[in-house]
Amino acid sequence: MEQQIIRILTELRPEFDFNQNINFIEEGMLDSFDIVNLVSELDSTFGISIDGVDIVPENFSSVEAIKNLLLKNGAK
Amino acid sequence: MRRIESFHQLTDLSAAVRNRREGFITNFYPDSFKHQVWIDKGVAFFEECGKTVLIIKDNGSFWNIFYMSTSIEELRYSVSSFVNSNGSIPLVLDIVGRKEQCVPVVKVMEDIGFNISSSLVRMQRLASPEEDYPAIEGVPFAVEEDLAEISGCLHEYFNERLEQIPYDEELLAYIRGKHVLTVKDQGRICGFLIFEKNASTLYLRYWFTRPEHREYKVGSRLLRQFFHEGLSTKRQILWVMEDNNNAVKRYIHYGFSNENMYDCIMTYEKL
Repeated sequence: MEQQIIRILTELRPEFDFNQNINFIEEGMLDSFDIVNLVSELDSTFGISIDGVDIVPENFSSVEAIKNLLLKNGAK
Repeated sequence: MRRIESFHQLTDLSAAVRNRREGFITNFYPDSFKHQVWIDKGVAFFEECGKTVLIIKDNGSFWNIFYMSTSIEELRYSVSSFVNSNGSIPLVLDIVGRKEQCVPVVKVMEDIGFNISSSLVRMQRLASPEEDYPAIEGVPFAVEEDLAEISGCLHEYFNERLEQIPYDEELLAYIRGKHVLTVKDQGRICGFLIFEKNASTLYLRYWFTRPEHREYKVGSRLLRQFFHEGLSTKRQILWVMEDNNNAVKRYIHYGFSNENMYDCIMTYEKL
């Protein structure tokens, strides 16, 4: 799942290295525009619909945070 | 239409549409600072129609419309209903995304009676580790006393329907954050450049030179200082009118390239 997340992030923002252990939001690697697009990609890739209340920046701050978000929303 | 009372309410409205789990399309990208300004000024409203929430920003002479909907057909239904009830006021709506995402929504809006007013394309430039943009002399940051003059220029020279002119509260935040560069002549502003910056990205928001100073490299000095400010960032981003070939060529000259991200600005106005 981590590799799929990194692939989606890299397709969205190819100029950044999402393998780094840094906060994607604080570092400005993802903005609100990117998050809206990222949610759509995650929904379709994992066949889920991420709960609206979960769409807050902290849930997109790292690969681990995104993975936890996906698991919470039923991704396998 | 009901007034929006808090930023939290805005996120709840978005969550309610998503939680239908029937799809999600939007042109609304929440910004806690900017949208709180709208709420504090009492210009942000919403209307629920079917499976769509419309966010309305009342600018006095026209309204900006933002949408969150489950599908294009739901969006068609809700915007048609809204236009039938509120069509005496000019409506401006941005459709943002990759070309293939924008085209079907543009078609729906044209069917309803909207016309394309302008189309912007996002361009980006990736910083090279070797590049060096030394600081330019005579390009200081704006100070709070410059607020009225900068605001005046934005309202006089920019198209408020196409450019989403920031409120003075937003401008003041840009100035206090040292995100407004200026060139002055005897204390009067000849040009300015407003940008946003975070750890990795530099966004060019507004770039302006007074007409009588356009042959004196004011714009070039501002842009070079902008690049200097962004030396620690990895990319620089801006939006430019797609058909403004001179501007596009100029940005390409500086190393920008088209990102395949578009903002199609559509207007509904009863004749």
